[in-house]
Amino acid sequence: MTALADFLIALALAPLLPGIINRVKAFFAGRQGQSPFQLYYDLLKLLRKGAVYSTCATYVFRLGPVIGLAAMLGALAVMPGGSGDALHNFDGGIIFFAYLLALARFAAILAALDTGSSFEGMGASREALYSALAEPPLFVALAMLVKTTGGLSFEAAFPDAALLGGTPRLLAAAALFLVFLAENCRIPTDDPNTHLELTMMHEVMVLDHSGPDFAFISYGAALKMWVLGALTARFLLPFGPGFELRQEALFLAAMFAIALLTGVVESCMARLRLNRVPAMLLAALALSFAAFVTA
Amino acid sequence: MMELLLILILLTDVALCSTGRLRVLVRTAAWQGFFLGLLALCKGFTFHAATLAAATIAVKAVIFPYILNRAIRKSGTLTEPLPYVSYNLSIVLCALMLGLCVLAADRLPSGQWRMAASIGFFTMFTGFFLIITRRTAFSQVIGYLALEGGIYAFGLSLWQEMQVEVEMGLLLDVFAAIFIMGIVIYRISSEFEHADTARLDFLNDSEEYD
Repeated sequence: MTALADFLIALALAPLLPGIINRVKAFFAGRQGQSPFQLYYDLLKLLRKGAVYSTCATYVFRLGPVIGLAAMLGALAVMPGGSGDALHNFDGGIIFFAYLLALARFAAILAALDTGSSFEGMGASREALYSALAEPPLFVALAMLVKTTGGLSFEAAFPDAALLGGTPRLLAAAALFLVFLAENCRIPTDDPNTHLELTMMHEVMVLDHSGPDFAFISYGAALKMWVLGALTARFLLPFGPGFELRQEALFLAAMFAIALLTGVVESCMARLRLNRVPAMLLAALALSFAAFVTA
Repeated sequence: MMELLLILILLTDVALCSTGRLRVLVRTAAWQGFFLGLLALCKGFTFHAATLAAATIAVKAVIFPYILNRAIRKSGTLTEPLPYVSYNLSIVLCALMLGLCVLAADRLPSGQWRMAASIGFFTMFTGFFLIITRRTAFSQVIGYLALEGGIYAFGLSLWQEMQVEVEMGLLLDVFAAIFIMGIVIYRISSEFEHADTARLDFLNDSEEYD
């Protein structure tokens, strides 16, 4: 029951995270900024619209956003929120989670290639490269969790993560935060504000999607941010199962703190040169590997 | 506290492997020296430990950076030109070395200082690695510093009673070495207009090199 509540909270609050990031960036730039609820309005608007499909695009293109959103919903279901319970809990959920992230990426890349646009193909190629590099730090951090706790589902593993010392958990959270930035196409890797620049990745892959499809993609991206944020936060907050108001509040505060931190990083940093991005992800790998061996 | 210091030392090691900007390298090495100094206090706050910590911090975090920065300024070399092993690969190798060092330290009778032993090993290997794979004399000197720092951390982890005299002697040796290297680097760079040691390969008695 509490797991279902957590799930619904995530569904409802996920679009708020990009809004908070934008608001923080606006604050740093000295602007008023858009409402933090902008993404909700955008989603409602997009859902009311019709979709336009290119004549050379096939069903793969239409399938992309649906698979992407479904995979994110699945990932959200195995990731426990503030209450410590996951909606769907089974042995091996951790691996399932990582594969769902990969599946969503795969669908997005295929849809981008299906348009036949060379520009989108370029974005897809970069997405494939960087997500491949972002996977090892994620897996090593998850491996650390499994090694220490022996649980192969998040629900079993997170409460026992308290057994880990503070430093390995901090290292893993730092590594996962770098993965969070890279996977959500935030600034050191990609600039979410650029729509027509040669260095962008995620935004270029979804250029041809319109209407409800684009709403699915935007909402899926927000959910992905929530899920990866929750993973990072839960490394720092190893709650036991069961509902407690304090835990729930701490968890939501941590989620918004992560959004805040992302906004600060985006305001203070320039995007890395394209060929320096692998170095950042490898540094994340080194961090999570350090967490793994010190745990 | 000790664990935190060791993690910070580990992070400085990774940072040393991941950049070729000489000033950043010097700054990172200075921080590493500072953390190493504090590490000496983790075995209990005695007069000997305090002396060792103060001497280490003074030499590694203040004097060496000063000497190295001066040499860098004089030589005008600001970045490492094309290391033999790329920075990305260096980070990966760094992670692998860390794993090996943890395995190796597991076989030592260091008890609760096991982690200090592994990080000490790791720092030593990072130093070796920098000496082997970098081209400028500056990075190699910093590698030498890391090597010594690793020996220091390793020594702390193994001996129950701290051998202050030994450590002090080591520190003096390193001090002399860095001092001489500072002068040598200056000579190399003023002679060859660059601190790239690969150019020393071309030294010979004939008049061809000019």
